[in-house]
Amino acid sequence: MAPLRPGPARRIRRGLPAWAVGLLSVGTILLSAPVGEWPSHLLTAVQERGRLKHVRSGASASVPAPKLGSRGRRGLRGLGDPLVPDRVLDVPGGPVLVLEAATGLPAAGIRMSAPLDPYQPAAATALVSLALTRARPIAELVGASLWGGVEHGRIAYHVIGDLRDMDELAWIVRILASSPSREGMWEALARQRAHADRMAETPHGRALAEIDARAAERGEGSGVGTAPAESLAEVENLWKATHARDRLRIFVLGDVSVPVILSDFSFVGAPTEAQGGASARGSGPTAGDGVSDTTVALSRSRGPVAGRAPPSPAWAGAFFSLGTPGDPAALVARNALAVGLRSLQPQGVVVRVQHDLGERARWTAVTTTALAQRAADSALEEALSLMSATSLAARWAAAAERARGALLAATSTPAGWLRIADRYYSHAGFARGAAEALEAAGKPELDAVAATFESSLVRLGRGR
Amino acid sequence: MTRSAVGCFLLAWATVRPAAPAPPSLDWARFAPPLHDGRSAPPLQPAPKPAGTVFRQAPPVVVVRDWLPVGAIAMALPLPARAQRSPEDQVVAQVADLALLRTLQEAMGGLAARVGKRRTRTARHFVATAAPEDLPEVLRVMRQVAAKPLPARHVEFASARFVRERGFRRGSPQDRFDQLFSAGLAGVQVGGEVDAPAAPARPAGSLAASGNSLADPSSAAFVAKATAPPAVVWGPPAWVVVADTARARLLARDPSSATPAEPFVLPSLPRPPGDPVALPDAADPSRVRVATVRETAEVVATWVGVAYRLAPGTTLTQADFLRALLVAQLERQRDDALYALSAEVDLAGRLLVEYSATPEAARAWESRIDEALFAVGSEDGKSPSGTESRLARLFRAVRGDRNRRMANPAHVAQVAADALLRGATRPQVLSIVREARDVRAEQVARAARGARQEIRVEYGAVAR
Repeated sequence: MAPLRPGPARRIRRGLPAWAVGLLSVGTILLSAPVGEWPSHLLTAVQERGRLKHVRSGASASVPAPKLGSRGRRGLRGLGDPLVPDRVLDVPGGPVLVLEAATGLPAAGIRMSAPLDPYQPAAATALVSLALTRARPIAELVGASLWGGVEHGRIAYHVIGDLRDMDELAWIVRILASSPSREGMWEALARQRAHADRMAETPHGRALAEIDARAAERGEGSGVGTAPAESLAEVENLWKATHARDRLRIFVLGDVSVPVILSDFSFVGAPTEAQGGASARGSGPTAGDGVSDTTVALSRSRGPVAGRAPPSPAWAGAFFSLGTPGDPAALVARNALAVGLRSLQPQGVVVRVQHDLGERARWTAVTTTALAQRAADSALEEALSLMSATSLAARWAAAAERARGALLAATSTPAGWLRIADRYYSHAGFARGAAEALEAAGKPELDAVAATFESSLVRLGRGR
Repeated sequence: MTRSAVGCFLLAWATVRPAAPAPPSLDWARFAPPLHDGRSAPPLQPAPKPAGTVFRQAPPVVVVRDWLPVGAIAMALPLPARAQRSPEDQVVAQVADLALLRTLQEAMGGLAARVGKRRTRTARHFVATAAPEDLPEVLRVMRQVAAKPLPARHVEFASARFVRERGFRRGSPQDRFDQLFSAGLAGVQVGGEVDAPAAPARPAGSLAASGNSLADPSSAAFVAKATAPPAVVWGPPAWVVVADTARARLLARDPSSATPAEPFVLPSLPRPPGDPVALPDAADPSRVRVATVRETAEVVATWVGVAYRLAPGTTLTQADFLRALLVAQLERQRDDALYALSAEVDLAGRLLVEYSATPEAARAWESRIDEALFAVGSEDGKSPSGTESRLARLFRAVRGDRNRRMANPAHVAQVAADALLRGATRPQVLSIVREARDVRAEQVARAARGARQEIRVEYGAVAR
């Protein structure tokens, strides 16, 4: 379906199937009344705890309902807490809409995210690249900031702009969610190949590629995504699977009314099977669809650096898990590692850390590069020793404070708020719950992180 | 305890008390040059102060936001005109800035707050972000740090880093251009040839004699200056707090002073006596001759800085829109011959445009800047066909970009503190924060129509 033009709600009806127009009309009528006054037979459950109203209607949703609760010493804030969204609306057969009415804010922001399932990071990168190419001209027209990428195990986009340009911002999101076209496909694949070749030329890139291979052996996939996508069909199949309407989450931040949001976003993405869309969920890449005849599968091994001698610097690497990416204790451990590495400052060794790798974005990679192998190995061991329970304990409190400060600071911009809201959507108490969990993280959490680290650690680069 | 009692307590807490025995406060207004409207400008060049002098810091201007996940506090220290002319003061400012940043970071160690710094030609901004409930404590800490001598260890660290970096930057053409441009804007000559009819002789004295020489950070005089309380060396800082409604009452006596005010009009500071590079035309004092400072060097690029005096009556916000419009228009013409481009509005109300390019392209880029200014000034926002004009489209993008930035409380705090340093009153500052929503393209076009080139500084290679 072609992206819809911006404008009043009536324009949105153009190009929609009759059943969709009917549903939209019912929705608009419903929403002219306060949520609490909607007919009960259409709303099976209305929860209101604190400021958040969680509305579920119609069919069961694929996304689990966020659980509200309180952790830490302060508990969930009351009405008006900006770290807890105002409303979560589950549109039947449509996306989950998370709304935060930011009164007085001159800007508005929208974030759309979809689960990267099936796990095809290369195709996801191409999908994002194509979507951004389509949407960028409109974003530039209104001075909006546009971003897209794979983050925390989800394909995500956001667009931030003037509140007065809300129609255009919604239009951009619909463009981002629309099906990929051939236009720009070859450029996107070429960029991926160039990136893969650049990665292969660096010790860090080689380490990540090895992590990729090792993790794949364990059936987990690393998420480094060094191999580019193969064809448009692969990208299209991924779009159908991940961007199905009922799998999307859309976060809206701004002084915008609920009816406008529902009419703007209820029908974005690929139609589900029940809505007449083809099922592609769980399907792997399919070869040949009429456009793949000219594509060349350029994996890293076939890139321009294939067959060359490895780079002269010696390197060592390791990857490990600290827990699920949304786990506040894992976030504290990351900060403890960062603080510890700053104090180490080994001479003549470059230490790099990369988080959120892998299928569930739970892997952290550490690589060290030096002229001598012994120096690289030694620096790696020093870095890994920072993750022992004793070493973590020494920096835990400071790291927890640092992590909380970073989380709060990240919410100071609309883009940051949307990112945090998405990341902690499934966390008890949303972002507020996570911030309080950071404050409350203590010995049990530390021990759990240290145990996860020990059990998941894999060393690389030995004997080079 | 009543709310007002709490407010009084916190206000007193946040106010820095003079150390006993309390010497008399300095009257900073004494040092402020008068502005054209009779008000006093901020002290651009505070005179040397006797040792041990303290002063009473002004209470912060509080900008209230209804929706605020994170609050912000900006402390802006003026960059006195003498620091633009004196290499020694430039070095002291750089060292003191880093030492102050480290001191602030150390003092906020136990708080979930983040602090960063940004330097412009008009000021140095230290902006902290913290949870709204932590703002009173963060403000107290920042004001204490500003009023106390900086710890010697931080100054030593900053000096050592400066000396290390200076080793790499010695003879940097960018630094030399900055020095020439800053001196030209301040009305002194530190080298190059002045191309102005009947230019007076170069000023004698320490400023001209200092030339390229740099201060010795290890000297006792330097250390004494760098460790002195920042607010004493550089003048009283401007304080701005962006807080939510609940905290605003605690931080200011009268947060409801957000009444509409006359827009803040850019000052037209008188040129310093004996200004060798730009003097009013004897026949028509309202006109200023264009002076060109030129210095050739054996480098591969040409640096150009141009200062434009804007139309009288231009407000700060309009000037900032014009700056952003100009940059947006020029960025669309960017080519490989252009290395860097930036623009800002200085304390004297001039629009400064700086760029570096290949020697062959330098002239062409200067023409493009003039053409872009002319294009903005000649459009009235409507095209002959009645559709949106090119300027109107660009203006919309710039406005969208600005409103997006103003959604960030740290940016709001910085903009407001910058306006305070320029001499805006409190109501005017609050207006500036909101004014962006009301600025029209025609107003910006009028400011561009009145723009007159005042000083031009060129450094680097000459095209053959």
